[in-house]
Amino acid sequence: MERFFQAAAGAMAAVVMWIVLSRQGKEYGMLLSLGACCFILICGLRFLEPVVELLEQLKTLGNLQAEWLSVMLKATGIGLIAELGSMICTDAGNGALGKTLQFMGTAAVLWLSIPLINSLLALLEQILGEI
Amino acid sequence: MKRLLMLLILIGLLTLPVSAMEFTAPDAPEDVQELMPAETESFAEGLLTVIKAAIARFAPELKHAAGSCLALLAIVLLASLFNSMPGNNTRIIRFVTTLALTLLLLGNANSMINLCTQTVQAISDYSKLLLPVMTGALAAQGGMTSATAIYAGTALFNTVLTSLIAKLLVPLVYVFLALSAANSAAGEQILMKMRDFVKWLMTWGLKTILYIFTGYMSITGVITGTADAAAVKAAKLTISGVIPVVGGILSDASETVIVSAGVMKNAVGLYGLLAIVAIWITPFLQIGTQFLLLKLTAVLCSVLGVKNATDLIEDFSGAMGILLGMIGAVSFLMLISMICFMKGMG
Repeated sequence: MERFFQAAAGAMAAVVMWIVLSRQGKEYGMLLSLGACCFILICGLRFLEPVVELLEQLKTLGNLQAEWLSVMLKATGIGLIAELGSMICTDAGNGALGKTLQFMGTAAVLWLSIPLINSLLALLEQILGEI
Repeated sequence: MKRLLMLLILIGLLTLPVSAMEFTAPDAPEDVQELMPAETESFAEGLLTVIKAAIARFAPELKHAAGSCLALLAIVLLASLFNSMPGNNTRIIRFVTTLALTLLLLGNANSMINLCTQTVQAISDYSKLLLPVMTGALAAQGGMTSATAIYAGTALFNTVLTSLIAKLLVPLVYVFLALSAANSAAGEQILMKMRDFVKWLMTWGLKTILYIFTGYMSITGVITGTADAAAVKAAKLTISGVIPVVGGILSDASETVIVSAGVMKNAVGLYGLLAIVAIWITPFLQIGTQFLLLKLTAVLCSVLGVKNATDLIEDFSGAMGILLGMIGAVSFLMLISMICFMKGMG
């Protein structure tokens, strides 16, 4: 929990510093915001380590295909990064770049999910053959 | 001379071999024979043996079903990580989550649907062997009208229900699952409405057939039972009145024959009831466990706050419920019919 409070305090301090630095120049505030986001994200990832271990346990117990879990993990990661990047771009006043990043994230997740779609299609084909 | 000739013919008739009519229940299907009790004196005792054997046979399946639910939980847990983030990427993650969940759930659901179809067919096939035997046994007991009416009703409703399940309800289950998955991925109101309509149609169809069947059985039971009882009573009175001297003895003897036929009919009926339960119990336990485990997983997923995933798992659990309803309806139809046959002439 200590790390969470550190991250929360860091976020508060970063906001105050962002207000001060933004008066000096927008780019300083932007850099600070980016740094603070990375710091909080790293803190958050440390929290996720036991969650990933739990997922691994569930995967083993449930005989879940490693490929499916890997796709889901990658999709979640891509989604989070794309979303965060898009917000930072929007905050910096470049909405178009933010939207493009979101589109990129969507395309990447779709590309990742192709094996899942193929598996589903194969299953559907098998079911339709049985009916 | 004439009298002597008649006497000789009658004496000659006494030397002919005679045998009583015998009714035996058709053997239960091979794959459920091991569940059947070797011999039983009461239905409760036999039922307990069947249930115990079915639970022992079903135990490994439970592990597999629980494992699948843990896998579902893993996917939903992963999806919940992204749930708090606003923005457009939520939709694509929702799509991937639905895709992974559907893949996992559909494989299991397909096995359960096939199991349900096979069970319905097995019960229907067995009933085609058992019903004529029960009809003959009830007719031998004097319930000619009851036997005909119960046989006609059961055969008709059994055929209608089996065809309805195989040709309409099972494809509708797939449609229901497809609509559920599409609704979970897209979250469109129209898909949700269509899914609800399909579910309502399936449950309504099953309920209606069972209501009509139960009504038919109740009405025929009252009408034909009375008619048969009156016919048997009239026959006894005629025998004792028309045949001089030995009429009363013959009438009493006919009573013994009727009681014996009743004992035989009940023995066949008891075996038939146990055989139907033996065919039905293992698939019922398997699908029932899937149903309960999916409900439990949906509850756990709702704690994680992923609504579309929770709804999807609940829908698959609902589909399991409908499958249970299907095999339950066919078994109920056969069990009620057997009880009507056994009750027949009282």
